[in-house]
Amino acid sequence: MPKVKNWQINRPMEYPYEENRPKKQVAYIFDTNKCIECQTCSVACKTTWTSGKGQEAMFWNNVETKPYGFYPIAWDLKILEKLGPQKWNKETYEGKTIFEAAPQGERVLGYLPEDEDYTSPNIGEDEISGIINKGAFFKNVHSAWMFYLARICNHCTYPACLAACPRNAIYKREEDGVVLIDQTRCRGYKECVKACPYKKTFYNIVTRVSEKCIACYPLLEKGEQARCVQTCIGKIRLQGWLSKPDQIDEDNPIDYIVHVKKVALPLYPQFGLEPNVYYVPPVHVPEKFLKQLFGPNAMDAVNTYRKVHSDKKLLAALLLFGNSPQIITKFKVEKEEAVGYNSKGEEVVRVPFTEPFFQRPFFDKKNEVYRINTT
Amino acid sequence: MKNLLKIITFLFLIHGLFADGYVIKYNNMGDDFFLKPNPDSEIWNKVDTINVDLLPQNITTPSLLKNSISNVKIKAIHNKKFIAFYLEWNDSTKNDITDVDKASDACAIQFPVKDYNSTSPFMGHDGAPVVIFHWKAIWNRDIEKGYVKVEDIHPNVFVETYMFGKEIAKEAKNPISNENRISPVEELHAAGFGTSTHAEEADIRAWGIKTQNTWKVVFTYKFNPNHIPSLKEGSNTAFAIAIWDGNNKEVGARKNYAPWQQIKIE
Repeated sequence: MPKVKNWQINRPMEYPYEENRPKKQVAYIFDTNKCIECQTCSVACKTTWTSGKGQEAMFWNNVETKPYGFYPIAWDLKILEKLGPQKWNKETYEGKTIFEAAPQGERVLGYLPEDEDYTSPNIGEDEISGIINKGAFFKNVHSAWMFYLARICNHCTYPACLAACPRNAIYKREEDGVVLIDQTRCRGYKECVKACPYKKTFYNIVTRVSEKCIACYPLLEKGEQARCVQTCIGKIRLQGWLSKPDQIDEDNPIDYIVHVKKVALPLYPQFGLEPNVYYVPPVHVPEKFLKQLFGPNAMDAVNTYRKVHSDKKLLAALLLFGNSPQIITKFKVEKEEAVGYNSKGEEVVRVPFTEPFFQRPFFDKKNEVYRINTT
Repeated sequence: MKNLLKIITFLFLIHGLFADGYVIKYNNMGDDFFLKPNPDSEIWNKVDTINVDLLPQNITTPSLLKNSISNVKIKAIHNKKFIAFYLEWNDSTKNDITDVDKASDACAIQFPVKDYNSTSPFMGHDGAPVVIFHWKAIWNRDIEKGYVKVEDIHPNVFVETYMFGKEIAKEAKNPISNENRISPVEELHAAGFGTSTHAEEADIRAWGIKTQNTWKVVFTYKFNPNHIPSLKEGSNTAFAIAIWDGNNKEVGARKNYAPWQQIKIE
């Protein structure tokens, strides 16, 4: 099997195909600290792409509560259990990826979910990690925790779905790295559903073929961010282009956050797919859990994020989230503002570091009414 | 070493299993027998049977490590215009519906376009293509009871609206998504692993009948030397077989198969 370089696990790894990175790689950053699980992203995606027959229980975008939320049920627990305990040595993953752990006769270590696994997309919603002891209310910090994890297809550099498809019906676009299933060629074998550890390929029982997130490529091709990104009312998302690790552009907000400041991390990098959705880890979650989800640098990311108020450039990059429908390819700090530019070099967004503060008198003389704060 | 073993196994399989070949006899019967394939037709009781052992497909990935079906009974007959193949295998469960965790029972019969001696039985290879007739239980069901709907699989499903909904694979004319199927068999062309491609159907028909413990499927084909040159009256050729057990979630390359079986068409 060919060896490819996976920078997220800091070593070469086995993959069924040679390394072939696209000219541009679509990437996302989700700030878990800002997500309120309003599911606006899920609804935007569902009404745009998956409201047809056979897609009833299909969510290309979902938001689940960790630690007890899953869609499909126990998706990560099941593959983690199959993979078994593995080891990191500092930033190098010494365990086996799902390609290297593939059993005899398989290309990828995986499992096929059951039909029922898709029927409770909100299972575990808002459940906290444990019981809050009596009296804990009076203490400053609660021991229990939970957070919201928004998930879409990771448009991986080394997609397991693509590796597993025996018909070569899945391909990664050279121009933007979007991973697609050819709807004319797929024969519904579900090998991709079995192989994707994130369970983001889905079987459609009406068309009898598999489907997945298409990264809203019609919008991408117009220079716009995806529906789930544009509609996010918590402004937790940024979509753009991630440079190759040896071609980092510090003025590209995605590169700056992921490669330079390393504040956003891949989900389960140990699976070996080099996923391209990056998460700012939740700051209040125990180290052990964060490291399992986001790798050995999780606490460094949390610490950097906690100090963002004193890092103007990082603050500027994070302020670009959700403030423009357009893909921001460059940004800079100008006085106390973050300024974002599109691929044509046009300014598309300008966000102040501090929102202007207006104080209005209690009594409105013009309308002869008292202003009451109803919130 | 592994490759060498595979080659030796391959050579053994294509020459050793059925050295003398099965003679497909001529029978002066009407075309109706072929135009309406019926596995329960009494005529099949009078036709010679061969028992073909099946192997798990583990030449390529994804594989089936252990076969779920050990053998298949095969009969064949022709009337100079049409040829018919009868397949019967043990299967205690009927799997003719689809879902993420379900697969359809199925079978296929494969012919070399050229000389079978120089064609890989494993879906052919570059320069030596094969033609495959592929029958699926779910397609049989589609014709008997109509295209399977969501309500058939999930009777209690409730959906407020399908507004904006699209069925992309149908719009893309993927033959797998064809809800107006008129035949439970499709023709595939292939020249190696992963290359099987739906072809415009030749004059082929098929029908399957499930009894308690068996599937019986009949394929019929109208001879057409322009289509499959190796398949014609008087020729010495071969066929290969594949059987899928839906209950074992077998799809695609996860199948029970038999490599080339020599035949002489009388």
